[in-house]
Amino acid sequence: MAPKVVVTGLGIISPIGIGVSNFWKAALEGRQGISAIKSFGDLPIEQYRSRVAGQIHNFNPQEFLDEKHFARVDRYAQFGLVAAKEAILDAGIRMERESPDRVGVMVGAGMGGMMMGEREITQLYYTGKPHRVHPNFIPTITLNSASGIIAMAHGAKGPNLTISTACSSSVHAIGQALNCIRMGQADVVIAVGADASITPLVFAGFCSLRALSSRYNDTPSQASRPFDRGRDGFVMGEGAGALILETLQHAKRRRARVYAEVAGYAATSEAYHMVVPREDGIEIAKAISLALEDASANPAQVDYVNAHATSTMVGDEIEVRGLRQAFKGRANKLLVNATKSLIGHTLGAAGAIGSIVTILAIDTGLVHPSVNYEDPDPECTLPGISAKVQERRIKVGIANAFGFGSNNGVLVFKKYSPK
Amino acid sequence: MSEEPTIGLRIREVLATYLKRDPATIKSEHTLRDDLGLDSLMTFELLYDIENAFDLEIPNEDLPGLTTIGEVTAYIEARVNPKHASLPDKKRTIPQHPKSQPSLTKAPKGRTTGPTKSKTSATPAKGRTTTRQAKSKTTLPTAQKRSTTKKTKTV
Repeated sequence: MAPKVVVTGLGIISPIGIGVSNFWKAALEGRQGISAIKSFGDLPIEQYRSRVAGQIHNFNPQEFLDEKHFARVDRYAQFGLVAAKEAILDAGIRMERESPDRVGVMVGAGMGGMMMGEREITQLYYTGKPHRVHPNFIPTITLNSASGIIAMAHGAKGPNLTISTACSSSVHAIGQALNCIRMGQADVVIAVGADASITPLVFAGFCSLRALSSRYNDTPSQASRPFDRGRDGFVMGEGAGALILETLQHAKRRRARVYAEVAGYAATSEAYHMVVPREDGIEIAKAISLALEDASANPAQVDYVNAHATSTMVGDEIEVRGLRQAFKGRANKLLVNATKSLIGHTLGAAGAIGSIVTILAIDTGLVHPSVNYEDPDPECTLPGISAKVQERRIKVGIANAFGFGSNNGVLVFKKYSPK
Repeated sequence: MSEEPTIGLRIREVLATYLKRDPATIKSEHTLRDDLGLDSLMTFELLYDIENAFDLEIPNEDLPGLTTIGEVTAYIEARVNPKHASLPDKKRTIPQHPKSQPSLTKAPKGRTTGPTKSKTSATPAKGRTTTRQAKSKTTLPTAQKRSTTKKTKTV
């Protein structure tokens, strides 16, 4: 029988706070991390259709990290390092007491090292000098630079993988961490989601895809409004979330604090469209049902959903449709919130941050507000969505994440009670 | 250089090139989604080509009104030459093409129907525009009279 897997450590870096306690305090207060983008260097920011984002301002990696680790990786990997470090400290993992081969790293990242990527590509085409491309360009933009550097920073020699499925990347990183432990390949996995790609080219690309909110450029705090009738696209964010997963047995042996059990996971493809989910929500419902089955839970036991809810017109509506199909009558009793209303859509980090919020909701019994939920859209309303903090004892919670490429991922977390 | 094609014709050329079909088969009343089979991503790609051909930028707020070829044509006419926007679609010169246009006679043929109709994108929103716009504090004037028949994205 597969071992029970639990979460014993959390770490986060987000537009509303660095560190889990700062983040959670801000989240419960409904504090918003969306602001106007001040500049993209010499580029005309006023020509971008969207000009708001959830940026982490004044981030100094040297405050948190050893220079030999942060100096040669891109911003997203620095975020990943910061979150992983906090999670390891939080879990009380001491690597000198672990068998390095039994500690893995799974990172979810959608875009990767785009800061250096854009800079070097631009420079090459501008100067026409191939020998001026930076020697560290390839190691930096390679998508597994974060999982590599996190392993190096902590001496984790177990399975080391990067999952890139756009916006669902880190739900799958956690899911693969779960499977990796269940299969006996590791005792501990550091599961991380990270992205930092609010860069001139990537941002312009999302603008051209007409996926971003453009109606609230003068009122950034109103731009991210999942489930609200006035929503008009998502707001890009950046950040990272990290979770320490380990077998319950391993956690007990080290007398670790257990936040929650990672009980189930589903990964599916809609095999449908690059950027649009199936309108009837049936594929989302299927992913949720499969994850619940994997967790040996039934829909009636679920209390809370951390929705993917990006604040796009189509996406939010289809997700609610999927929830209604998966949960039937129970859908009206679920508490549901949208973390992206606070920090925007952190792409590859979104699944990990949503999972951390789910675990904290289970741990504290508090569900953070979905801010800007002022005028509920009748097409996607549920009684359990609120612009205020909600309180309830939560035994089972799920975290949804859906990605471009027709990709869906769902995780199920359960309250852990030692017997 | 003789007279340049009308805006309507040029839009049809861009569309015909995009869809690889005969421009003569594209009618003003055709809807982008249901008649021509464009999903949201394909619509944005087409608008991108049109922006390129006419050297302009179409803001997101204007998308809801652009559901048929006729609407797109009228919109581009209004944008390119605001004074004559109300005139019927007759021959008129267009200032400064950024690109040379392909000749109509050489328009690619072959597939005469669009791709299989996709039900993917965007069902028409049912009568929610008025309330939304009434509530929205920042609705731009261009979007006000238009019905929301097209939604934006995605996951």
